[in-house]
Amino acid sequence: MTEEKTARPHRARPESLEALGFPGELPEDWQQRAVAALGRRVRKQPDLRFFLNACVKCGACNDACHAFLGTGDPGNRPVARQDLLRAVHRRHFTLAGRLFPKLVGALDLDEAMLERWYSYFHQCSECRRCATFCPFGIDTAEITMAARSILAEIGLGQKSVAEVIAKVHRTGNNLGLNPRALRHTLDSLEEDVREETGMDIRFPLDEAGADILLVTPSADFYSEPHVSGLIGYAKVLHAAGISWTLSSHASEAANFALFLGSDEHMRRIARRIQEAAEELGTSRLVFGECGHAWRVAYNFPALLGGDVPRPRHILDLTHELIGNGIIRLDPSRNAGMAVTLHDSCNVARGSGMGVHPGGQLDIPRAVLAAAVPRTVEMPAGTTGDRTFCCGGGGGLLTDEMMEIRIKGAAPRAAALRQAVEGSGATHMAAICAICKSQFSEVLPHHGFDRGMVVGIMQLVGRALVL
Amino acid sequence: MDVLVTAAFAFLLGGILLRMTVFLRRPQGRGVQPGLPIRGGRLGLVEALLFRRLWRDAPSLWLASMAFHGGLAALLLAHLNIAPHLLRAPGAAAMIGGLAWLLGRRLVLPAMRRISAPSDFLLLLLLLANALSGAAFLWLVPGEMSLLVHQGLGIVLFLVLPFSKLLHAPGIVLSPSRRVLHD
Amino acid sequence: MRYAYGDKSWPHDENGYLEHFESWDEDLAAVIAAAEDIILTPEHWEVLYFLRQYYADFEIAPAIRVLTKAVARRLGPEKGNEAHLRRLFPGGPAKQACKIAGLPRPTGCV
Repeated sequence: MTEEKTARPHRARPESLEALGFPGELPEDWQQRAVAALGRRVRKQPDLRFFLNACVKCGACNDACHAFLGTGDPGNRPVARQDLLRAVHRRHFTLAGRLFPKLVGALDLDEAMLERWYSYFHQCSECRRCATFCPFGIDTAEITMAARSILAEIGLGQKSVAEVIAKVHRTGNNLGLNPRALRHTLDSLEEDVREETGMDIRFPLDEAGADILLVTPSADFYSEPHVSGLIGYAKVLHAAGISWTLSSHASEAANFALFLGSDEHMRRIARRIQEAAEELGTSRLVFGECGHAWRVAYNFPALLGGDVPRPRHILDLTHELIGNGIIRLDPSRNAGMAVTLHDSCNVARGSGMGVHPGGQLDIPRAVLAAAVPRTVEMPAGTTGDRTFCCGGGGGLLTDEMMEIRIKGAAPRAAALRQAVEGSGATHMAAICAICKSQFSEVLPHHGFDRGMVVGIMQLVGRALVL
Repeated sequence: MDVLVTAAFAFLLGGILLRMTVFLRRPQGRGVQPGLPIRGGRLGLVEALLFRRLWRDAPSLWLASMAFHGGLAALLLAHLNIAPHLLRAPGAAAMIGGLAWLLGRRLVLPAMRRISAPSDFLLLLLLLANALSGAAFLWLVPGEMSLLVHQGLGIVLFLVLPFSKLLHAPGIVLSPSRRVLHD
Repeated sequence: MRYAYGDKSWPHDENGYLEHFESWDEDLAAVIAAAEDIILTPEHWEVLYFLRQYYADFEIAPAIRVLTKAVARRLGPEKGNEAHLRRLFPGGPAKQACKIAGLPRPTGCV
C-alpha cells in the first residue's frame, strides 16, 4: 500500500499479526479472501446484514459524526464510511449489484478501495453517535468492526491495536506490566496514600479469598490523572470495609479486540478475567473507569455464556455506598471546582449501569454531584446518549493519528467552552482511560489546560471522609 | 392488464415476505451488541408512524417524509376504494409535494448528492412518475392510454419495491440495535 | 528507519522509539533529543538515567508518579511534579522522555 494524504495508523508488523493468527502480509489472492471473509461475517451476523441493507440514504446522519465535524472531510460522514463496505457487499452479494453495479453504487474491492477502507475505517472511533440519528439505528461501529476484522484477515492490521492485543494475551495487560513491576507500583501508591492520609490503605494484588476482584484499565497503574482514580477506588473500598484484590493475571479491563471486531480475541481477553476470579475465589467482579471495557463487561453474560454474572461498575458500587451511608463524602474538599461530565461513548451508548434504564447516565452524575460543590452540564445534544466521542476511542489513541485526534475532539471542546464560559465549569470529568488520556493530550490544542481533565473516582477519593 | 397488475402485486407480497427474513433474523449472541439506549422511551410503533427521531434531528426532512408517506397511505386507501373522493386530491398533493422536496434536496444539497447513487434518484423518479401518471389519468387526460401508463408504472414499482431500499418500513420497528436493548 | 550519528546508527520504530533498549548510548540520546527540539541538561540526564535503570530492573517504564517521586528525591521536592517534568519534556514524561531514554512506547490507553 502506498502512502497518501488521508490519515491512517501505522500498519501492524507481520510478526505481531501472525501472533494473533492473521496472515502477516497481504496475500496474492487478497480480493477473494476479503470478499469471502465479508460473506462469512454477514452470514454469521444478521445485524450486520441488516445494517448493510437498510440504509435509504436519507442523510439524517450527515452531521452526526465528530470526525466529520472536526475534519470537514466528507469521507468521514457516517453514511460515506458505511458505504465503503456497503458498496462492496452490494457488488458481490446482491443481484442488483452484480447486474447493474453503477446504477446502485456497487463497487469492486480494488486497491484504491482497500486504501480507503484502511484509512476511513481507522478514523471511526466506533462511538455510535451516528446510530442514534439514524431512523433505522444503523450502527456504523458494527460496520467498522466488520471491515477491520476483514482487513486483519488479509494481513492489514493496525499496529497499536494488534500489539496491544498480543500483549494482553502474553502479560495480562495493555502496558506489558509484569507482576513484580505492578506490585512495585502499588507499593509506591500505598506509600503516597499513607503520606497523604496517615492511614494504611492497601492495594492488594492476587489475594485469594477476597470478596471483590477489581479489574481496571492498566492506564490506572501508569498515567495521570488515571492513577488518582485508582487511589479513589482503594480509598472507597477501604472505607467501606470491603475486602478486594487486583489480579496480575487479569490486570487489564480494556479489551482492544472490540476495536478490531474480533469476537475470538475479545472472548479470550474476557476469559482471563473469569479465570482470575475463579482462581482467586472472589465472589464479585467490579470494573474501574474504562469506557469500552464496561461495554464488554456489561455483556459478559452473553459473551462468555453460562451463568457468568454481570460485573458491577465501581461508580454503581460507590453510589450504593453513599446512598446507604456506609461512606461519606465532603464536597468542600474539592472546593472551587465546578465540574461537567463528559459521558464516555461506550458507557452512554453501549451499556447500562445499576438496575434502572439510563443508570449509565444518572449514576455517574449522582456520584459526581456528591463529590464536588457544583456540577454543570454541557449543552444538550452533546451529552447523554448524544455525547460526542473524545476523538481517541476505537484504537485511534496513537501518535501518528494526532492530527485526527485533535480535530475529532473539536466538537467536545466547543461544548466544553460553552460550559466554561456560560456556566463557569472549571473541570471536566471522564470515566474512561482513553477519554482521560486523549483529553489531557489534545485539549491544550483547543486552548484548555490539561489539568482540567479529571476522573470521577479521583474526585470521590479526595472528598471521601476517612 | 388487470391480470398483470394482480400478478405483479402477488410478486410484491412474495418479495416482501422473502425480504422480511433479513429483518426478522435475530442477532446471534455476539455479546457486544447492546441496544442504543434512547432517553424518553424506545422505538416502536409510535416511532414507525411518526418518525419522532427525525422530527428532533431533521425537521425539514421529517416534513417531506411525512407528506410523502401520508400521501402514499391516503392514496393506498383510495385505491382500495376507501373514501376515494375525499383522499385522492390531498393525497396526491402531499405525495407529489413530498417527493419533489426529497428529490430536490438530493439534487441541490452537495452532501446529499455525494451520498446518492443513481438508483437513489431513479427510485424517487419512479415514485414521482407513478403519482404524476395517476394524477394525469384522474384530472388531466383521462382515458385508456393514461390508465395503461399508470398501471405499467405501478407494475414496475411492485417489481422493484421488495428488492430495493423502498422496502424499509420493517427496519424502523425491527432494527437490531434496538432489539438487543438490555437483553 | 534509523537514527544515525557519526558512523553509528540505531534502528527505530515507526514512531521513533528505539528498537533495541541495550543499543542506547548518550550520543543517541542527544540525536533523538535534537530531533525533538530538546537540549539536554543535567536535569534531563537524571530523568533519562532513572528511566533506563527502572526499565532494566522492571522491563517497563515507571508510572508517572513513581518517576516524579524519584525526581523529587534526586532533584529536590520542588521539582518532583508532573509540571516540572513537562517543562523538561514538553511532549510528556511518558512518551517523549521514554523515547529519548531508548525505552519502547508505553502502549494501551495512555
